[in-house]
Amino acid sequence: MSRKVDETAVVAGADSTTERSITVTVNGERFERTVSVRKSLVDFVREDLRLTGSHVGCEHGVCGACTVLVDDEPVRACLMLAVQANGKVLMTVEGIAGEDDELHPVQQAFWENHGLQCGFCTPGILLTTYDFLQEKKNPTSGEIREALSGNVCRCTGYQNIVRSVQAADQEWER
Amino acid sequence: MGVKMVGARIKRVEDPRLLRGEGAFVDDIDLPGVLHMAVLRSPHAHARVLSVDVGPARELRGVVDAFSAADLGPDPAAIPVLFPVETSRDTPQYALARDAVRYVGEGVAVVVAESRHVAEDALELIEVEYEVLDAVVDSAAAIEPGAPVLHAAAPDNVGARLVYSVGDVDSAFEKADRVVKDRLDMQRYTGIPLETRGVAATRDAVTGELTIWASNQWPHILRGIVAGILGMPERSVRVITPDVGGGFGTKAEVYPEDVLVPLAASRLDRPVKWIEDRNEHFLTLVHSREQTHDLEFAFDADRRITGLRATLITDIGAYQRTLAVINSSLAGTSIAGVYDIPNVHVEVICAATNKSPASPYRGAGAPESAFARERLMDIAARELDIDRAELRRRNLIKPEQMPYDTGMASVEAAVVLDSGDFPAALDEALKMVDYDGFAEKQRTARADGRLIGLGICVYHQLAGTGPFEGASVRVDPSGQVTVNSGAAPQGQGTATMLAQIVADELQVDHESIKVVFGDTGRIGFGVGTFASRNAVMSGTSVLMAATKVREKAMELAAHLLEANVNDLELEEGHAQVKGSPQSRLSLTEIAAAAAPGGSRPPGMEPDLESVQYFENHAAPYSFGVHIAEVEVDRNTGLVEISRYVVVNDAGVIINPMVAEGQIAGGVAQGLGGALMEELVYDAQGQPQSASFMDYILPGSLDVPEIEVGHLHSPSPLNPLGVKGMGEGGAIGGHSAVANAVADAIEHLGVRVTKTPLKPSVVWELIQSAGQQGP
Amino acid sequence: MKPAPYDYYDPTTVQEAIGLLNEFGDEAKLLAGGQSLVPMLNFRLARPSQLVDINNVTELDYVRRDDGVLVIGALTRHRSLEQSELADGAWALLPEALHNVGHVHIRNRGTVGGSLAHADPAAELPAAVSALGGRMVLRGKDGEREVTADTFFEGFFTTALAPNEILTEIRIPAWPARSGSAFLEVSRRHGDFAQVAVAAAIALGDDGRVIQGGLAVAGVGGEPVRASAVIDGLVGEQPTSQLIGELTEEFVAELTPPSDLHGSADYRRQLARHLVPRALDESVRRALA
Repeated sequence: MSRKVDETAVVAGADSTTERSITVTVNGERFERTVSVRKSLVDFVREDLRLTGSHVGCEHGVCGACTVLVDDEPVRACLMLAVQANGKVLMTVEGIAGEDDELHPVQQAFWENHGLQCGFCTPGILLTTYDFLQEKKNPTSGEIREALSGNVCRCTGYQNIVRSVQAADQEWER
Repeated sequence: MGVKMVGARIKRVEDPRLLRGEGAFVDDIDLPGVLHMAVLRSPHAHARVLSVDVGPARELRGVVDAFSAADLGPDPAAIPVLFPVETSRDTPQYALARDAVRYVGEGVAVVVAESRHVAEDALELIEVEYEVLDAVVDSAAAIEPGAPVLHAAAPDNVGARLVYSVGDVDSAFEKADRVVKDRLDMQRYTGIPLETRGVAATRDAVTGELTIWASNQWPHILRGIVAGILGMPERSVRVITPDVGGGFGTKAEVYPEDVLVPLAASRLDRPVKWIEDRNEHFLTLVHSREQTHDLEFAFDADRRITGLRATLITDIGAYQRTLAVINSSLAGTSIAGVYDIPNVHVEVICAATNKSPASPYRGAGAPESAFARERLMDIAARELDIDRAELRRRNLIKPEQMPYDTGMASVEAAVVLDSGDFPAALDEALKMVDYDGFAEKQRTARADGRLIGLGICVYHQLAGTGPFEGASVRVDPSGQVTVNSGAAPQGQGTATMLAQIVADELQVDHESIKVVFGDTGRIGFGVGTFASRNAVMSGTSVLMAATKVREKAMELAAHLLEANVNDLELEEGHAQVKGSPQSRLSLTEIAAAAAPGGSRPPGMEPDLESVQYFENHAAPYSFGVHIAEVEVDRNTGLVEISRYVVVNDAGVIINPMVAEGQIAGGVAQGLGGALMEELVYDAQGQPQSASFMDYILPGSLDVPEIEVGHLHSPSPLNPLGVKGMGEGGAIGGHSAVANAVADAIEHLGVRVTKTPLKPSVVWELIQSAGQQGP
Repeated sequence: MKPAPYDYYDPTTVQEAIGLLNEFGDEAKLLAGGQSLVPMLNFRLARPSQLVDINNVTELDYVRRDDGVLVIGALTRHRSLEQSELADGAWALLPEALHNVGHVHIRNRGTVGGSLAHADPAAELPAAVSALGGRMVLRGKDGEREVTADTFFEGFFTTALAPNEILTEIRIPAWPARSGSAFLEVSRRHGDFAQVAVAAAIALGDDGRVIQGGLAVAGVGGEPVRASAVIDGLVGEQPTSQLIGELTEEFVAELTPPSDLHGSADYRRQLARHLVPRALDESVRRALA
């Protein structure tokens, strides 16, 4: 300690070893921002882009509440730095529903099957499910449970989440 | 309409926004110009604080404020104890540590800065001089003479002592045919909601009101206490609980940060927020469950329990805050469960230790007492050579004895079991799991070298405590129905449940009803969401308000239709003369007439709104039977839950889908406690499980499918006939799983008296076979 | 839980990265997948002055077969190697081990080189690489050296890497035709670090006797513990259950695993006793298949 860093001073385009300007595409929209190099991707998405659906649950990569898709792959957004997302294409929970504002079949299935209670872990679970079902059709409940094992839910006891994923698998034409 | 909504299995009105990522948890609320608070926490379990210098922290660029206890004034108010008892000793906690720190994580100073990063940088610059003292970590050791003393007012480290007595227990034991006893230990574990705590505060430029958003379960209580500590009138503080990401009891507390954030916002006259990180969460969240029960049963020759004697040491941690003795009291008064035991004597010693303060967590004392009782029940069955289901059945309170007054009363409520058929619940669960076939299944498995076991837990839960809850129901002139409730739910589906109740009463679409919670600015009095209160207390208060609104609407309709109110009916949001839908008035038309200036009968006040408070001191009790089947791997100690059956009776169920969700979620937490979760401290009081790497929560592969059967014994204590039930899963889950593991291995000659039964512990138990007593 | 300040560099070539490390010395930390380092940064347990992010050094992201050797670039993501069709035969040990690493989210970011260089004693990949006789290529300003797993893993979170060296490549030698491998572990929960993990590979001759083998155990010491004596005892013999059992007992008796809140040393020894024979038996079964 202690170099003095002013986190608030944002000078667009002023790349340095403590700040970088980055360009990311999130849910189809392109953003250009200057960020502190020690800001996590999830903090960036929440604070700088005001997409607060991605939640911070542990900041050490265990709970999965911050899961987002980066270049179509689910990652822990608490374990990625915002600067590392430069040039990448992201999807967050806000991007799951379609343009028409209808719930996506995955979201609808969670609604129908009581797949959420407090809803805090839900965005991460939806994105994990979204990715999983794109790769897998007709999964067994064991496969679903394994796919979800990186997302902690403290409320539901998981069984309605498993049912929701099964229902989403049936309803989502992909 | 026409279909009754109460009782319907319908999807939740809460969900669409949560599914879209539009939930508004504390950290999601946009407060322009918000500053970030961070707390410097004690690295020592017990130390004198000789000096604190926040000066260097203030120098760092981006830091706006820094302060310590010295800045709180010479005589700050402590966090109050809400239910003191005669034996309660003063063990006060202040917003920041004054002369001493008594657990790792206790707040010593705060920094407010432009970003959380800078605030954390600045914490490292604060200079604190500590004189480290001996810590005491084990509750039994804490009450031994010569142990390090935490508080001068409690030189024996006993925060309070509770005694509950019914009948003549000594005589029961003197006359006993057999006595069975053991010491049962439950570990320290707690709710660990996925959303950590968080507080934000800002002053309203117009009213001067301090608005506090808190991830909390009791906004009105928080308002009163924070206003008191800050020396402000209640009207100057507004508390809002936005979306809350789980609580399980741990957020029904007033924490130091609940005071520090508003204080910082007041000092600076700028918005300030503090979002607890997961490390802080493990260090400072209220912990729970850590109790030792020395329990004994006196049996007569018919194997009826004639006496129960218990000494409980409850580990209360370093301070008694708002709920102080509650958990201890509820454990002591629930220990007999739903068994007919005429003579009971319980002594509870609340022991202070250098660990995070303890308070209720889902089940509040009942998981602890159920574990001791149900474990000892199995131990007794083995010792007395009687079937464990039969032993339970023989001792259950009979339906004809209901309502059953146990003669005990906790600091919260008298323990009077209001309704239920306990033997029927047990038999139903045994049937569902094919109990009669299990003995053979177990014999076969053992012959193959496999260890399988079945565990039963019969329990009751306090299901909706008073003293009151408040609600308003309003139909505005556009016909829209809004409900305001004093509740502050954290995922229980309460909005749906209340909308169902109001939909039945006002005959409107439940999805059109707006339910608002947890805002002290919207309803004058409220209590909150804990102790499974929502269905009973919020439900009834909302029903009362909706009924008043309906009655007024009908009177108004009678006036407008020039009909007799007794000839009217309310159908599909319209008032009409019975059987004459051609001349009917919509709720919108009625509400418009109710607005000032409208046509009303003489003397009728304007507006179509009612505010009601349901006051009730008698709490209902729901109950259930859980049965788990497990297989234990003798080589690794790993436990696999192969079957899980629940029979639950919570009276009238408002929404079975939501109720079953509560059961499944509760069981997951209960089995977490039985097998995995543990807050470990080393001998010096250093936390060893302060991350998700070391505190193991059940994952999707750890929780089995849960089969649920319902019985319905309506509660006579409220007009809906409902009982709370959100905690039962956590009560039954812990003990059913622990008993099942015990059943799988105890024939080897070991005894299970502690949890968690993590794989290493189970394997070591198996290894000890033959070395342990019978 | 926000990281302490650091200066951030993101070189695009190995040469550039080495130059930076050379300049900063041991104050700097190399950031690969970040799945272990970033939590440590967030807890402020790691506080480098400089963070050298090699995620843009794309020249290190490859898996190929070269002269019978499986060659893996250090920046290869776990998920890529897990799904690589090249990792067959005994090499299938690598995807099997990786399947136990965290969850798909973690494996999408985590890198092969990062796991090895981090050298967590309970990690899966070091044991698997060790069992297969893998060699690490370390590059510094003065050139390259290749070391065995035994040389590379020095103890708890410690490797032979000098502060100004980068692990660039992992080379897994060819195994005979009749080879099989197996990876088994016990963890508190799926995706958690292993309490004990066993990586085994066995090659059989035409007569069914063991001609070559590798066995490494994670979670029982500071680094993956190579069970050379077990393999030496098997080579030239029929891998009978009895022989495997005897050799395992001798091996386990020598172990001095750590104790922590998840399990005692005795318990970890037991897990090794339980898993080693199963992993060997399964390897033999697969070799014969």
